[in-house]
Amino acid sequence: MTVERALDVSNLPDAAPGTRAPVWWGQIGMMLIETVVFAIIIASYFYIRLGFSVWPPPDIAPPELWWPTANLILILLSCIPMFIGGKAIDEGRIGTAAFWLGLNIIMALGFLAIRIIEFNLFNFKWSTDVYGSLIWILVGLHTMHAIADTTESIVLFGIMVSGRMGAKQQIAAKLDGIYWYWVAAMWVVLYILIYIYPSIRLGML
Amino acid sequence: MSADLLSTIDQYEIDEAAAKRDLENSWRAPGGFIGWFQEVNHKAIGLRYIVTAFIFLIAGGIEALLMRYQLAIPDHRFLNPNLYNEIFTIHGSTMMFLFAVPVMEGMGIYLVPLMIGTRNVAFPRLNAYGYYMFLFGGIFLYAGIFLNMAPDAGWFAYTPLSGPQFSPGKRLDFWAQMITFTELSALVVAIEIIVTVIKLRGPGMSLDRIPIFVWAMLVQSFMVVFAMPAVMDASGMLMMDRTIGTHFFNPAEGGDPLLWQHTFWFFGHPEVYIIFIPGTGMVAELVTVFSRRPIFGYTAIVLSIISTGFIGFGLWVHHMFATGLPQLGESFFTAASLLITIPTGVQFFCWLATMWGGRPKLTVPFWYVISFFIIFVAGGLSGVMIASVPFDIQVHDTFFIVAHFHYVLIGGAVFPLLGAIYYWFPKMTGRLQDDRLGLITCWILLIGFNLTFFPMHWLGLHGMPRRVYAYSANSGWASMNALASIGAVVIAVGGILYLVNIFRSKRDGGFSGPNPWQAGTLEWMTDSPAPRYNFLHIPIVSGREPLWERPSDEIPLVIGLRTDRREVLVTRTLEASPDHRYVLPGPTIWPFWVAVGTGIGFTGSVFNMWWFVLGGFICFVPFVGWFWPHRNINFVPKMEKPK
Repeated sequence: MTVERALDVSNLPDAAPGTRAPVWWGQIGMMLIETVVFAIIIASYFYIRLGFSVWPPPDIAPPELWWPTANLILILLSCIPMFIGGKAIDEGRIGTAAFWLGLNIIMALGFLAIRIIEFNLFNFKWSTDVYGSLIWILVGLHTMHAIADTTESIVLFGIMVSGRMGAKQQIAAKLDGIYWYWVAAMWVVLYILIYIYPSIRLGML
Repeated sequence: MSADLLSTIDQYEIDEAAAKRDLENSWRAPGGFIGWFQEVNHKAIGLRYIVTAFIFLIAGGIEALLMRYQLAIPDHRFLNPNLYNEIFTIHGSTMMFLFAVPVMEGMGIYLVPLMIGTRNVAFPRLNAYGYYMFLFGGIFLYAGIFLNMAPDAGWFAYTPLSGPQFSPGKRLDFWAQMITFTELSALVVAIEIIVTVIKLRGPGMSLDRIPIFVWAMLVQSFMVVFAMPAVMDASGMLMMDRTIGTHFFNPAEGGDPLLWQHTFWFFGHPEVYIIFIPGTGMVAELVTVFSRRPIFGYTAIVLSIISTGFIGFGLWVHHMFATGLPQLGESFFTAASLLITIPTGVQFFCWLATMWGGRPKLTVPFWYVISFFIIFVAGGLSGVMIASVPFDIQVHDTFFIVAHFHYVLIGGAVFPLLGAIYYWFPKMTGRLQDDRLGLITCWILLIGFNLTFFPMHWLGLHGMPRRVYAYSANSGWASMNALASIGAVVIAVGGILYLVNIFRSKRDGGFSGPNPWQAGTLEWMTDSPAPRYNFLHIPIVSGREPLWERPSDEIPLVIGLRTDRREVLVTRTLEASPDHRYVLPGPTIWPFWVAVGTGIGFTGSVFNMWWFVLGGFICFVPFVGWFWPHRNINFVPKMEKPK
């Protein structure tokens, strides 16, 4: 068969980073979905809040701020090794990337450990009243995301140290980082909603 | 940037046989029984969606016939009230969650890669996972029926009726988890279609050359991304209220039953457009092909679809006019409900102008389009009526509403779908359907539909409420109900004939050749049925209807993609210029096992929430199997910064 005109693409690279990679868009799409999931629950929070004259309801103790604030700082700090590791992976230095990813994993596990303390600091259960339900679903859902991404980081760490990194895993490692930034950023929003907003209403801040 | 890596060649000689052999080999289907669970090809998965959805359509149709038999005569004692509640709940849930949305997703998964000129969807394995979630969700709901755990609180399961206090037992949990299954599947497909359309279009297919059906699927997918999380939240909160004692919808502890209606309809109204927009995309394609001219007002149509996508999110409260809303809210949502008729109207006039300026050919798919026009305009008009609050409160919860939404959903989505399947059937099977039988079927369906649902307007205006299992003889509703029941039988006959035509034609219909309708879009360039790799060479797109611009053997092609592995061409988002080559993953069973793990988690959590956690752990192993690289590479290229 003879073609009148043809375009030869054989010299194009067989992987590309960032917004050029399809999987980047897939990850952004999934994060968009998760953001909407949280946004709907946050909207529900304020919708429920409309029906109350005292908020949080009177039987809810004022939030403890020390551990949650320390944990917020920890998750924000944990983004730094993730970022440095991402730079290293761009430059093809797998060993360095594995080191920084490992540090991020340790900090993430610390974050999850303190999260258990955070749950214990609530003087209410999800079944106490609607306020308890809302707070537990928000923190619970966020914890699920943090566990999921930490697991992903551990698997990637395993891939790095077992010497199986290829171009696809390189993109995956970067996306794992983007996901972790999202988990951290989402916690900033939720921290304000769960700890700061009621503190201001109760005149603590 | 990549321009210097590309070279244009005139007069290129292609060894067609060798290319075909290599592609057949690298894209071959996994074999055997296990192979069925490893399949990742978009056409196979798309077809599974469509076939599964049609099986659920038949189930939903049988449920409808049971209801119509019950209502055919006054004081009928065929179904008892509880059974009637279960049947209308399952009918609605089946049609919305297990038929209408999945079948449109299936059409998108099947057609989008063919129409944009690529070899598969962007994430083939995720695609397979999405299908299994849908399948498990459907099996799960129907398993509930046989375990005597069928939901009975209507397809929208209003709280407090659906809450733990008034619906003890597991019926509503089965309903809520079915939602979680199917919406997860819908979200997966949405991401598939968005990324496939953004990154895998054939070179040259800039935004203004994307076929309208693909635009429709893209907008629909974005709507799914913003709408489905709402119902997943809602069903999750309902589950938690019912199983672990949260109080989201419990007014005694500060919750609010209306929160359910808000979160459900924030999904539920966009859902209507999620079903309807692919339908309009199909209509646009059919009108173009059979008017034998490019569509009139391409840009206006695309912008209308996009604005429908936006306005669709501003309507949800019009389902709640009877709940006592502030006056301002009512006015706002009435205005928005009237506003959405404008983009729909723009599309209608563009289609009419296309027909006016072309030479319409009255084929069977075109008759379905004409039926769509008749039915959907009627449904749209009753929609404008109920957008007005006083009228809505008058007919709320009556058969007038039942008539309205069957006119818009069946008229707006099912008739275009039936026409579209008839139209793309040759591409799927390589065979033509029987035109005479097809035409008769279309007429039977059109007549049966109006016979069934038109009298319901009258019934609603005369006060017959929906969701009642019987009515007395002196209500005066008997004759119209009898008429509607006769119509339901006529629809069933039409449905059977439609299936007969498909099965007969699949076996011994005439061979269609690549392009039986002389259509202009890319999917008609390749063989019928399309080979597993879709195109021997990726075409270069120079217009909206490439095959109308030049014969298909003169279309410029992409060469240099490797044929010994599943390589596709990734292009830039806006202008679709070639960017890089990309290897798609091959068949694997891991998505199936992840789906099994997810299924165990969702199913178990109906009984105990800890199963959900257990399901997460079960998923871990197949997830690692899914993503673990098999080759020992240990080399990553130094990435250049994206410019």
